[in-house]
Amino acid sequence: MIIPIRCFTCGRLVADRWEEFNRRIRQGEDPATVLDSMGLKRYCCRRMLLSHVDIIDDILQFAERT
Amino acid sequence: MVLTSEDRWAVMKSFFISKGLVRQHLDSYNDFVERRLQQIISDVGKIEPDIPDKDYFVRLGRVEIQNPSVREADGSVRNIAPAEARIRNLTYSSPIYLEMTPVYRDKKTGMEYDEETTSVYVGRLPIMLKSAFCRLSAMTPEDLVEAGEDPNDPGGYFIINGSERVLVTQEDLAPNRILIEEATSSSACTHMAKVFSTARGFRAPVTMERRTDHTFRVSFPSVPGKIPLVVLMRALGLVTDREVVATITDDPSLAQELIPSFHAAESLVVPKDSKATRENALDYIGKRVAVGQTKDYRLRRAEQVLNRYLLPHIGTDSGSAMAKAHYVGQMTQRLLELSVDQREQDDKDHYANKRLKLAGDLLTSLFRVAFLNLCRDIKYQLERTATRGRTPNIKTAVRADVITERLRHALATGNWVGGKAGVSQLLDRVNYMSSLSHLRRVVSPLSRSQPHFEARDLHPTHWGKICPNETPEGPNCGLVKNLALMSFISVGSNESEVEEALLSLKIQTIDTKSKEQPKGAYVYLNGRFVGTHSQPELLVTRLRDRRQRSELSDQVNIAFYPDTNEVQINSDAGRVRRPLIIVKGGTPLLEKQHVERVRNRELTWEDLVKAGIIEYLDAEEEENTLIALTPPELTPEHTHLEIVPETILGMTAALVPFAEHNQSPRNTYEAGMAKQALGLYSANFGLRVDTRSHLLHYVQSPIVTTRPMEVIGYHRRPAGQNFIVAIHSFQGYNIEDALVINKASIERGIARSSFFRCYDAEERKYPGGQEDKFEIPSREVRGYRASEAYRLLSEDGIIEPEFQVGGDEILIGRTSPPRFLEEYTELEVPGPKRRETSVSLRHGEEGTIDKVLISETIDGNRLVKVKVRDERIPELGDKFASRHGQKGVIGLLAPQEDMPFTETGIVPDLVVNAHAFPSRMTLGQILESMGGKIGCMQGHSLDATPFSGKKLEDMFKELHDLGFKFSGRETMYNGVTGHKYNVDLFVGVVYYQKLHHLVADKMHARARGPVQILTRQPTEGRAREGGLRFGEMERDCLIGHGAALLLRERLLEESDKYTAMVCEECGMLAEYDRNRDRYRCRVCTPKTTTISKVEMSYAFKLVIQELMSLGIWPRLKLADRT
Amino acid sequence: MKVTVLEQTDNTLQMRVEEVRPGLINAIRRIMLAETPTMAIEEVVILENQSPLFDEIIAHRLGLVPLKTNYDQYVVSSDCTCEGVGCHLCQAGFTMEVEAPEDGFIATTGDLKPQDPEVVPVSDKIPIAKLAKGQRIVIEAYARLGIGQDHAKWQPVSTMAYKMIPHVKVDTNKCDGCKECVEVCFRQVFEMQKDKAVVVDEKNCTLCNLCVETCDVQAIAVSHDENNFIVTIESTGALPPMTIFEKGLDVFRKKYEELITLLPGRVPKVTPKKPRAKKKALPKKPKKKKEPKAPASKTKTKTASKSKTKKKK
Repeated sequence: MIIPIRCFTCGRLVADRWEEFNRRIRQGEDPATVLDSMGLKRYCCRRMLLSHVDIIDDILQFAERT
Repeated sequence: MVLTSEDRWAVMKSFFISKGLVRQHLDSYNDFVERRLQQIISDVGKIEPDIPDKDYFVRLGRVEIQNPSVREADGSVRNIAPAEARIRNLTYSSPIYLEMTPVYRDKKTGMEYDEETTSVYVGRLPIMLKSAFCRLSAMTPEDLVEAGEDPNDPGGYFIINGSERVLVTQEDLAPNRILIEEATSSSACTHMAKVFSTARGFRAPVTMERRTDHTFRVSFPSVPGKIPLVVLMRALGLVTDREVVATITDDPSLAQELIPSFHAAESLVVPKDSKATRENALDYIGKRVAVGQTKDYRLRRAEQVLNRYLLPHIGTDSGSAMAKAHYVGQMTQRLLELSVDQREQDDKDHYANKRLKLAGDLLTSLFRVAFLNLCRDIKYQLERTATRGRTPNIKTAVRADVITERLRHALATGNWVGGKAGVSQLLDRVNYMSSLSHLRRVVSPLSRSQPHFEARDLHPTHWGKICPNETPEGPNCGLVKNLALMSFISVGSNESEVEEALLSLKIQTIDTKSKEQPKGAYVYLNGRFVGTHSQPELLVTRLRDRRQRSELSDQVNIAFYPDTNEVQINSDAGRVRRPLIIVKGGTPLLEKQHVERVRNRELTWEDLVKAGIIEYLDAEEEENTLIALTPPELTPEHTHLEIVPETILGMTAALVPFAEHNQSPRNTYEAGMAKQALGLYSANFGLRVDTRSHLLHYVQSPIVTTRPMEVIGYHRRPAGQNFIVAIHSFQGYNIEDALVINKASIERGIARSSFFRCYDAEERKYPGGQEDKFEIPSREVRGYRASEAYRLLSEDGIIEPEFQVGGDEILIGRTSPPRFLEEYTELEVPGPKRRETSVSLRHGEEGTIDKVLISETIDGNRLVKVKVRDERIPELGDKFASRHGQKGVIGLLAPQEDMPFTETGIVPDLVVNAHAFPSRMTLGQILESMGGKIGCMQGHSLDATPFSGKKLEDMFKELHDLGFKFSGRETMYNGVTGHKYNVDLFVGVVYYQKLHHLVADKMHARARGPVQILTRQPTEGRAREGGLRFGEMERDCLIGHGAALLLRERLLEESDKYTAMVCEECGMLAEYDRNRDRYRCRVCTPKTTTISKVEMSYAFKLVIQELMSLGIWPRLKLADRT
Repeated sequence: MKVTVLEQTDNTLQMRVEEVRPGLINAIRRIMLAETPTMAIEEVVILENQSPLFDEIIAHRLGLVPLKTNYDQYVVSSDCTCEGVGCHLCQAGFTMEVEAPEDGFIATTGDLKPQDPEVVPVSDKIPIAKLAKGQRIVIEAYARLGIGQDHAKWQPVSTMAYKMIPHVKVDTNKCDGCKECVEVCFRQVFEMQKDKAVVVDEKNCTLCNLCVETCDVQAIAVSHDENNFIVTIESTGALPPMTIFEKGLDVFRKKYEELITLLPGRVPKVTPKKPRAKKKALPKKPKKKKEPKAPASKTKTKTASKSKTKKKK
């Protein structure tokens, strides 16, 4: 739904990187370099951002209905 | 330029962009409403009531379907959206209006006088969501959200009384085709030919058999028994032996075979009088259908029966008798050829011989019955008003409920016309995939209790049409199927268009006058013999060319059987077809430039079909083709090229990454389990009121993906999470498919989900002005529970959101009027008390009130729905599965510090046992694990599409380049001892699914609890707080041990112990004498006898009493305990 | 035991620890993961929540937010004079009150107002919930000291791992210069120098033994020191890694002292403190962070959002 606060596996904080990650990906940057620059070296932390689906946006649409 | 696989995927995507995922249902439904609805009504044409001294009838005109709406209790009519229908338990339906014209006929002149045409409301038609008649079909995604719908919802189902119902596609044997087969040796015949002649919903099976005495007999509906072939032919107008033989065969050796048949009919021949011979033959039939009538009547009746019930698809008037004779002749010919091994048996399981009945077809047959009911009803109403001497008025004669209720009842229960059950099913909403798969399901009507091995087998003609993997295990295996990704079901086109084309191509039509067998190749149109052609190959290519030039509907398929010299042309509905790229002279007609324009959305899929680049083939035409899988394989002999070979898989089977590396049944298991995975089933879950639903909190899309996922939309509605998985025997806690999960991972939110259950209550109104009331029941109410149970209710008797509720606590307080109303005239006597009918939370469940919805039903009653939510944190025993049919339950929640770790600090989320792999051979999971690691490090998803995904060698290389061991193994340290493991452990990223079998929903134990009223034994099942059965085998075990006291305790003391009073004298049960406060024996009174207490099981006491009720005197002979 | 710091940043620490048995270094690792206390939000009172996330998800998310921990000011609440009720000595409060403006809003840890400026989230960009226009969240939260054994949110480290120091030897006499070890090693341990394989980056070796298996002439030998380690610590940000290490050793020492007092013949001076037993007596289940029947939450549901949607008419 929304980005998990920490990496499930190791407990590293990842939630504060999501907005930036998402923005840079949309600007066409290579996800791997973005993740490297954020210091997410382990694959457990990387999958948190890579595979996240921000479904909350889909759900929020319904709250915004008139 | 060769077409790359990218190019072909782009084309495939355009197919899904323009068709969507459930197009078959939508097309079929649209066709039903637009065309077939009117057809059914026009077939009826008029309603003619029998009114004495008045010639009056009602002419039926055009039918009109309005917008989906609802008629409220106050009479107002409003358009509604599906979301409202779901919440308010309404039926999403539209009113049907039919033009009716009353006509008076002048008896003397025969002139007809039309009265004013009126549009009459005749009933309501349930509307399929996203069909052309549903408001949603024209909406943008934003509008859909505004209407409360998930933009990704595929539609294709109905909403009946608030619940979503799917009409499951039914597989059926193709109608109007001759199927010949060898009979079983035990029967009286050697070979059989069967035709299911179907016209206007009427199905008339015609069977011809060749008996062991080499005679032929025919059976068809409404005629009891079997009729000799020659008699039937003569009755149809072929009188001389020569004529009969000529329609059957021109091969003299085959004709010899007919001699016994002629002998069988010899007695009916009147020499040199063809008229009398025919009459005799007709009378033979007449004597069977009209026993004991005059000969005149018998002959008329026989002719009628032949017209109406013999092969009705050819025609139902007397003019078609000769065509029928030819058809019967061909059936005979085929049987003869089969008997002399000139022809093969027909393959019943060949998909060319199958037709699918979609929602539209099913509704057609249902509506026809409902409409005929309505007509009968209107006729009756009109006659009744006439007998009462009033002028008939159609508006009042039409009772719209007839159609409405018939349709609604069938859709709500699944009981279809013709006695089929389970046709309509509740749409599976466990996750997005399960809904889609449910909408693409095909069921076969064959009984599941019989073996039917051939019917269950995968048939070569399923290629590209039916998923080879997705089928249930167990009794339904192979009978319930699912459509492959690109299979598409024909809607049907007009036969006359094809017929015109055939005429222009110089086909020799059958001369009904001629009694000679026509020469040349036989041409059949939808199983109907239309004529012959001398150059069938030319005819076939010409027709195909016309289709490619769009001069002929693309619904038409043409097949030529050179061995039997037949041309089969099909334009009917329900054939499973699949698109292919046309190849001419070894080069595909799809060129690079087309692909480019498809990519830029300049060309749509339909354009490609219209341009004759892509065409749909059915199983029959496919037999004439040579199809290349990939462009490099193309040779000049090839006629077609697969668009994407991977589309032989169905929707859920296509989710399995590296499926080609797995043992086949594993993919089948996964196809089943993918439908049980928790995820996000619909984005509008907050507006929905499903009775039970789950929601995974942090869904992730898989790192290792397959390309069909893109078109399915799996990434938008995923159902699972990427776990870090190690293969290791973690202290044995994962033996036998258990899983060890990192406790810290769970605490950080992995695999957390919410469970929702919806409760509802309605304020019902009863006859006599009584009604239910939502309130906090007062103490006087019958069945009042402890006041503690009502503490959470507000004044209106309804609970408030975000309250925590436990088992058996009341959610909606309600009282109902007393069940039996008696008349209480005296004011002194208080009236009967109201009953308590509150709705409480299920026993053993707990949760938070998520939502409270108050609305109104169609009858104007208040309706309350309460949604309760409960968090489901993974616990011991919860079920998980990877995408390779590897399921398991949690066996240990291990603390993170005990888990193995690498030097970089990676610990697994999940540890699976190595024994899960060798015997099951799910190599796919091993590859997925490595692929997941690569994907994470390279920062993109990894393509694992079956047959065309990443190659193992490339993965080795990439892992190496990323700084990992090529094999996916890593050096790890034991988290408990701190030592290095002597071997490297295999770790990687695997997508795991949490399945909906959760311990919290199943956990159950009982120490004491309710008993059944009849037997006084403990109830059964968790929902009834039941006991765990101490069964026969357990009993045997205790007997074996000689544990008598334990046995007694289990089976008597803790079950249905009863102390009966038994008369020692006569052995009957004694009865209690209230007046004297002692027991006495009714049999022995007035003698006083000794009555003793006997301990027995209550069930035994029941048996005694039941025997007594049968007039048997069971005696218990008592003796002292020794 | 010999400790050399190899690399140190704000949140990471890499050091060489020598002359230690694996059991001991692992004990320290386990204590740092599971028994070194940190602050984390333990109780959340939800006064209002209109976001699409359920109350329990929000509470869970808040619990996982790493907080800067100050050991000097707080005591474990079960040891506190308030006996676990919660007072300024054992808990730090937060409040959050947000309402989304016109075009939606992401409530982050930046909106969390701390009572104690020392105990703050490590980042103020952590999203708590996304809100649509007009939606509100009003929350009170209380952080307490706790240990990772009870709930992973109290783990101070995201990584505490070590490797044994590898020794890679190439017998130059045997080496036939086939280069296979260079190709096969994914950690670039070897290099070719004058047609012979030479070890250039020994400490990068992961002890996978791939080179040994590949070498046809058995010229390579890989071994490791059982008693020398390279330890990597990565903090969640709650505490500097060095402090965690020190605190971990501190906990270890206390455990050791307690063990000593329990030895036969030694009469404990005071009644021995059994930390495990104490912890079990913790009144609150760590998983359930939302206090169920908080009086405030009751008022909320009654007054504010009874989302009864009246349909029709």
